[in-house]
Amino acid sequence: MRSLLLHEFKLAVRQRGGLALPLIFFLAVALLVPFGIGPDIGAHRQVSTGVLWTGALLAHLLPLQHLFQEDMDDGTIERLATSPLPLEVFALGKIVVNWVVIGLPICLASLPVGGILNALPGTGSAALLTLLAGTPALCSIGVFGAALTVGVARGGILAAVIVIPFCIPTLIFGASAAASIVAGNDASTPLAAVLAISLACVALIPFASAKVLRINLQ
Amino acid sequence: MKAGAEGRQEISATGMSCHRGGRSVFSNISFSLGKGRILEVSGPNGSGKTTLLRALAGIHPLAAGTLEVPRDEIAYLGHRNGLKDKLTVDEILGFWAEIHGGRISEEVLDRFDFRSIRHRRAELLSAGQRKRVAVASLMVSGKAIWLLDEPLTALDSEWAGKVVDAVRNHCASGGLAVLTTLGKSIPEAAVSVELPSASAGAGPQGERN
Repeated sequence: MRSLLLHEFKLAVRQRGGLALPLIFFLAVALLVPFGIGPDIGAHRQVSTGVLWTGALLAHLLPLQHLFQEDMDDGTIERLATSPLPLEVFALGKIVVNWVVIGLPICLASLPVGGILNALPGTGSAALLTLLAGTPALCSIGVFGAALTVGVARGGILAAVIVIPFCIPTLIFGASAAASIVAGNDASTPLAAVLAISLACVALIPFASAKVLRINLQ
Repeated sequence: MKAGAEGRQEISATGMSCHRGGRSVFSNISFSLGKGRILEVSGPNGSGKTTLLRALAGIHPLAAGTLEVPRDEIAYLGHRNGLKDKLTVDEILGFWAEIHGGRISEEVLDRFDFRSIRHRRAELLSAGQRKRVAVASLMVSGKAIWLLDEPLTALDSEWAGKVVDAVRNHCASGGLAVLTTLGKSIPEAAVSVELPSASAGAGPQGERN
């Protein structure tokens, strides 16, 4: 597991450029929406947490095309499937690395971006907290979509279409938890729901992903 | 490492058939292979060598027949060899060694002459050097059963000879190897299965022991 994570991190970092794209996309969404809405501070305040969450969700769809495609094309998955390392562990490794290089930077970026949005004070930290709880789910669901569509031409678009509906519960609970925190209300129920979704996804999706990878290998 | 699996290092196939894309690739292949033996699978392009090897590795399902392979003792190197352009030779060998529970031995570094290129990224290597790295990444696995898909293509005769020598060495020390080749390259291979060309149809195959 340690050598697998190291291996995946090296590959993720050395394919420069691809890594920054989801973050730039997230920043672009968060910073462009206020221009689209116009100079109504009240409206900005109302949509700020929803915009941050939607931007984060969409940014997670960008890397899906490449998550497994190269590993499938160059035979890595084939070799791993015959090695003592279970494909389940490989899928879990993908989720962890995907979260560290894509999910985590987006969470951290939401803190300053929340301040730029003309939003109420505390929007950034509320978004940071809820995204930290919810991005593991977005990363896991994305990994499953990528595993399902590996080998399909332009599988990234298909993966995104498949993944979006499964991300909606996380989005609803995450954005509502963030909005409650900003409004000063009790956010423990939606926050617990987001955490539960994340934990369930991280625990179960490696098994589902390994299963579909094996089917796609044949 | 090999001692623990003593007595289980055997591959046996009876009446093995495989389909691919709804079409029969080969059918009724039988052979058995014990410790220290080499199986050479030869045949023209499209005759099913890769499918046979993938079936042995447990990736491709059998359409009929039985196959016994000790799955925890195999190391498989497909036609697509999993080399990452952005990693160095050392990192590639280290990764595959650790995944299989083996380690990089000095012998492998010397045999394939990696001393001068071990810190070079795979994207800077020639086709022949990449092939050598791929074959070496299987040899550092420490596994007893080697499954190699066309390990000799892209290699000049000198390096092809060295790869064959390494396979012989491995088998002499109790290992077991299955490799696919375009023609017969290892005269002393204990068993050889020759697949007919795809157009000749898939009939029962001869075997030699």
